[in-house]
Amino acid sequence: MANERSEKAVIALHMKSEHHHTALLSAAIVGICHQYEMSAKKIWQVELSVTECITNIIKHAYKSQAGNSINVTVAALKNGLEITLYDSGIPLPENILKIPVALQNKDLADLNIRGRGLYLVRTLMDSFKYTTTREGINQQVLFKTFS
Amino acid sequence: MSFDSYEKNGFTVISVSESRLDASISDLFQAYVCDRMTQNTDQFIIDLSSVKFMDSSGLGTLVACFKKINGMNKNMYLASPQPAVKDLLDLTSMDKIFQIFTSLEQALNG
Repeated sequence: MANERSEKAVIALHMKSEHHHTALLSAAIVGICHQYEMSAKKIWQVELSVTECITNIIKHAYKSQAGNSINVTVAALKNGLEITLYDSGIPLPENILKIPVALQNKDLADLNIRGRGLYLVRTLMDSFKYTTTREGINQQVLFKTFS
Repeated sequence: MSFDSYEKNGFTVISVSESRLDASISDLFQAYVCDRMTQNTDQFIIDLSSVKFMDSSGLGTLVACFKKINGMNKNMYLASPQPAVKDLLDLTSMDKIFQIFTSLEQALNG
């Protein structure tokens, strides 16, 4: 899906790396989604994906250490929302980034307790990109069309 | 308290009174359920009627509880998942793993 880059608005948000702040940041993004009259289903998909990305940052990038910064920008493009999450923690390891595109629920004994977060983000978003800059900033870019 | 439990019709019903079952409370929830696994009943119902949003951490906790309860030859059922929770269970194919009832009453009546 091509992201047409004629930005109408960019909102910047910031939170500390504590799980109990996630709901508030998600609520802000849900509010933005409502402004663009996205469907309830799409809004849930965005909310869940953003929540998963933040959880990954707190757990993996910051190793559950409180007080680190998570910055988020929400850009309203011509055809959808582009949400970018920034952190300066440890980049996500390859084994997490390489989670399969489809989940296989095996026997109960082998059923994984964790590891579904990025699968959900990849499934629910129109595009997802993870990069680390030379300056050591990790960026997760999510895109979802308005309609 | 975010969680509550009581016994009814031979089931231990564990209810979540938070609207979100996510990473902020998933560890607490797992500890709460584990604490109740040792009770005499061997049938557990997780009442999700108040949970409007669940993420993979919440789901992972349900899987962990399910595996532990199953390992004790006991049963765990989910009751009353709300639309966003139901969608997550479907999306991850966990609807094929858990036995899910649309209401608590249905779960209590088997």
